[in-house]
Amino acid sequence: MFRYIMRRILMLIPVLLGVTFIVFSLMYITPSDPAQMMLGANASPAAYKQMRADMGLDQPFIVQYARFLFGYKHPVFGYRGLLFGDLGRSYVSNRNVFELILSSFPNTLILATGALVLALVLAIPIGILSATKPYSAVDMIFTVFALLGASMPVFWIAMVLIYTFANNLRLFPAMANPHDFSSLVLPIITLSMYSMAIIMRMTRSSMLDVMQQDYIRTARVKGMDEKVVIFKHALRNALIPVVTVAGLQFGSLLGGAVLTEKIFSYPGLGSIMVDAIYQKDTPQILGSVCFVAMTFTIINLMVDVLYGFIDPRIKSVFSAKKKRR
Amino acid sequence: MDKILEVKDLHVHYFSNRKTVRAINNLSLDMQRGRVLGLVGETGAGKTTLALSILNMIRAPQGKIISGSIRFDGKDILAMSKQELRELRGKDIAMIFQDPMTALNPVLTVGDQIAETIFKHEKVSKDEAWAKAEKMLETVGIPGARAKEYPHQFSGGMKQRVVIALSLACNPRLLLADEPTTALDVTIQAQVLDLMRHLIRTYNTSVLFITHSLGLVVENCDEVATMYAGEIVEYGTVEQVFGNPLHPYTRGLFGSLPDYSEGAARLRPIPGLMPDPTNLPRGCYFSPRCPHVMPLCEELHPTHTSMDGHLVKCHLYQENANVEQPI
Repeated sequence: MFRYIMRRILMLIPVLLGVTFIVFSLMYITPSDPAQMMLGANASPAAYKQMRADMGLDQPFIVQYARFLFGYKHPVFGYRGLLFGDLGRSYVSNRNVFELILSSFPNTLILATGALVLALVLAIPIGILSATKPYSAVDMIFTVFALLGASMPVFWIAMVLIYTFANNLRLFPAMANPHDFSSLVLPIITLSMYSMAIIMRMTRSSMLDVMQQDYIRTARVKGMDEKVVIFKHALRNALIPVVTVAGLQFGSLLGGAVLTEKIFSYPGLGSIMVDAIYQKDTPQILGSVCFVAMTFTIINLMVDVLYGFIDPRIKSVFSAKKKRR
Repeated sequence: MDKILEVKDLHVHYFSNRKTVRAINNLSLDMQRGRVLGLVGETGAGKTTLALSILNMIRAPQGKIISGSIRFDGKDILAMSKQELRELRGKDIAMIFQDPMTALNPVLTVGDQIAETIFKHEKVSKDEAWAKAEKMLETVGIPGARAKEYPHQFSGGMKQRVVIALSLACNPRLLLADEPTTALDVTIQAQVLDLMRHLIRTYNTSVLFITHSLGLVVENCDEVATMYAGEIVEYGTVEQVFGNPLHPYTRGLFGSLPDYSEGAARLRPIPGLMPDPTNLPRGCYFSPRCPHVMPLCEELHPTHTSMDGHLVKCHLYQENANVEQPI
């Protein structure tokens, strides 16, 4: 198991290199000019040229990418490089890029975790209920609910919630901050809607599939109570695809809380990314996107490890590989 | 001899796409205590449906037991509450399924799957149940220490041994063995059957042995029933049926076996297919395929005729009961 995890961590390196390359290339071809932005519109051509040289923007693409990875020596714009966890300072706020990310990431983590927990707590029991009574009235109602949850855009849900619960009923504040739990209620609900719908549908279909399996019939033939059949025999088998989906959802919640955070003026990673994009703050964008990509891959690794605990067949594949060596 | 199981006038239907599949049609069958009854018939004859009906496991809304009665030791299974059924299943009546590959839960250890049955039906602690599960595994020739392993760590034959251990864990009085060896290769088949025979004798279990292999019937069974399109067309002791098969369908089954004594290289399969269970013929269900079909067969559904306990459902014997009629 340990060796498997180590191998997976090593495999992250090419993945992350690929991701950074794509992100860097995209930024490179974007028609924004940091030097122009730093100097303002009225700068002289000589100053502009000097600024481009200082920022390293006059170098060919491959040199710039190498500097991005391995560092760039310059008294003002220099940094130690992505490999050493340093992408220098933001062009706008002049704060260290990764410091800013690390200070805002816990806020996003709170929001994403809250949303995922809410989604799981509601979606899994509802999914099970729907699967045990397929095509019943209860199932139909939750199917419609899930369809709504999956198809309503986040910004619309957020605005409806703010309008109803913050503006009219005055139950929760419209602006969220990580130190006040009541202010987190609306953004967490907003954020969890889509994941809840997806996890609910996944639990339902996976559960329906498992309930048709022969071993469920075996359990019933043994005289097991229906509760035991559902929760002991069926659920663990049904959870395997649900864990996959929940992991993917968590990854995108961490990286994709952008709209929700912006609407609720929440100081998370999403807000920082949006601001950085508005301000064409290249180091900040690069740093944030790389960070999100990294979290996403690490969460996927965690999900894969989690499989081993749910499904003994997967675990034995790990140990079989170990034995072969 | 007393009867452990009495099935009377059973009708079971499945519903799909607004069509009614008549899986079991007016089926009556008795089983004697401590005996092994072989149930033969081709795929789709309703053998598994009958076994599931005996456990009252036909699941709504796809399937429904329309009418009839199933008495186990005098108690009507179809009138039992869910609670009573759960106590019956696994304890008094156990079932072995055809495919051991899928019959065991992949995420639970085999020991757990056996022990939970024992724990459910017997007044024992969890540790005692586990100890008994290990003992059951040893009974079927698997080391008790392997109880901690998962189904995927066992081979097919070993899995079927686990399933047998599982079904015999609470000493059931009736065992429904639904093609227990069909999914296994021949050498393993022989081992598993030997084991089953031994255990059945040890525990004095009555067995409904479902198979489509006549060879297995003659080796393992006391009585035999031939099933066709959801009804029993012939019933008797193995000697009666094998010595003098009466129903043209049973004869056809024997004709489908290779007979090396005659030096014939070719089988004589029964021509045609089983009738569509959504649209069964008005008369005898076998009449479209029967080599001895008479005008009466297409009009009137035959009833059972008895000759010294050898039952047959065929017009050929209807008027001449108790007289052996050469066809």
